[in-house]
Amino acid sequence: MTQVEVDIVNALGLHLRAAARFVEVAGGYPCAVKVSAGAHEVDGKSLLGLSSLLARQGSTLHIRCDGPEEGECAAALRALVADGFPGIKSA
Amino acid sequence: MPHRQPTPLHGVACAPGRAAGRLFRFVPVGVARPPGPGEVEALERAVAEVRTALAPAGEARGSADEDLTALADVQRGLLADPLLIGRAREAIQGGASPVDAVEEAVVAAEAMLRGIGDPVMAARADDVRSLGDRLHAALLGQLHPPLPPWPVILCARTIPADVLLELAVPRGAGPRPVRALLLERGGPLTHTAILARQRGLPVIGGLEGLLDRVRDGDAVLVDGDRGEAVLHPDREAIRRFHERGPLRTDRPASALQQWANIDLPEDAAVARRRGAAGIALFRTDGLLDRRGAAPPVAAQADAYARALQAWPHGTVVIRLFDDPGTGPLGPRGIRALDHAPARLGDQVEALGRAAARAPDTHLVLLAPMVTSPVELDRLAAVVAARWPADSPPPIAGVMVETPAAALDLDPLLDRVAHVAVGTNDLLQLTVGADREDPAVAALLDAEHPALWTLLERIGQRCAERGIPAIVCGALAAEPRHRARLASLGFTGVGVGLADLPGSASPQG
Repeated sequence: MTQVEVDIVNALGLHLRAAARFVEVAGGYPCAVKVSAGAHEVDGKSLLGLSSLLARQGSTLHIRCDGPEEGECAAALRALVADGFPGIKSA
Repeated sequence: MPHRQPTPLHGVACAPGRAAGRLFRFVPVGVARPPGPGEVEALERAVAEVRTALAPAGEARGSADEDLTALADVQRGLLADPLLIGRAREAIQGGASPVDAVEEAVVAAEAMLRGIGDPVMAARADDVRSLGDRLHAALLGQLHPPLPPWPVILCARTIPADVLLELAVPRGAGPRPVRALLLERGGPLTHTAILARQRGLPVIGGLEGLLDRVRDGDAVLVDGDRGEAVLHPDREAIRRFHERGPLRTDRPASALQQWANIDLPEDAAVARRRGAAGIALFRTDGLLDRRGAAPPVAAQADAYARALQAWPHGTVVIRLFDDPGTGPLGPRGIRALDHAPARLGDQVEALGRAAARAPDTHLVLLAPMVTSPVELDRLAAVVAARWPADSPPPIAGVMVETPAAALDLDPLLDRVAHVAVGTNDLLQLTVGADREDPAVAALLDAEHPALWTLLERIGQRCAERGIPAIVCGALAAEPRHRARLASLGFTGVGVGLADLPGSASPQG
């Protein structure tokens, strides 16, 4: 299992479109992905789950990947969040 | 009949604006056999179908429409969501029918989102419902009904935001096919409402049970500012409604677009600054000398190019020489095919050369005084012979200004993609009174029922085909005629520079 923590830097936080990008990246790896921002943990491949975290700018995401390619997956998701969801306008 | 009584409707104000019109019930049609219990493949097919439908919506509009692309991304995410589709799949594997399984998953997702206690998340619940409706339609083989060829006020349970945009944005230079939206579900934070607000489309949500209470064609007044509507308004309701504020459809962006009629190439840029939707009519006769001779091809091309270059990505309609000085019944306009073929060929070539210098501008080649499709075919042959091969081809347009063209319009519409209506000529030819002759001036009544019978016919025929139809002529400049022209299916009016909305502004 690989665990990473990353702060949300973009102004709008983990809003729906950012979450959609997260899910898209997570969906590209076979491992399971769990995400929490506080007590609540959700499926990192679920758009509904992720957006229900209401993770705002400045909050910390805990990403837990378990299974094949977990290291690559965790690194890719970490970079996506740390870079503020590049490519999304008004993120 | 009791249901014809004026009936106030109170809903949730989702997007401001005021509109009046006829209702159209936007309910899916063509129900097929619903898939049976356990048919997981039916769900997969429906998901794939909805996903495919999403993709071109975003791409067809190009990168300009960031909202649609964003929306498609989100919907694609939902279509892969374990909490939604995964749950439905499990329910089907557990023996549920796909339609029930989707309903169950949507209801659960809605409850989850509303349970968060955040208004934005609650609005996402409406978006999930909207996607669920779409999946149901795909499962049942349902299709959206085609809209009638005139602007409507759409009544639906939900409308996905991207479908709304497909329906509610003008096609080409046309008016909005949808003037306002009445929804049984939804509130101001749904994607549909957000996008509607951005585009100035009035929306009222939360009108539970509305679809069962209305019929297609019911008259309705919509006040999106207050979230109120009046079904079957009587004269008193109409009077009160209009006292409260202007119709959204009175504005050029949402009803008739205001295009510019110009005589000089330089005026094309002025028209753009003043907010014209395009050039409805560049009358090229100003280039002719007193004997009707045209300048050399190169000089003509310069003039046309100047007009075209003022409208990158816009539309400039250039009318062939019309020779109005030869009298209303003389060898005018397209009749140059016979009386001035060399000059006509040169003009076509000059236009072609100009088109190459403004490749991003849509050039409509407008043929005046047409009475028969043969004339358009002969003109097409001239274009084929003289238009430079490396120039973007022109869009064929016809000026409908003779009763012959108005009465036998279909063969002309088979050959063009743009219509301009010359009401000055149409009126004088209909009542048989020369507009240059003051002795018969009183006969030139713009309210003449015969003129409006022809206009109605032209507007409807063009609307049926989705061909932009712009009314040029004196009556187009009079605001009192505009609502009527819009209701007949016309998409715009062509007016002089002084009548453009921005003409009073300092930059004009």
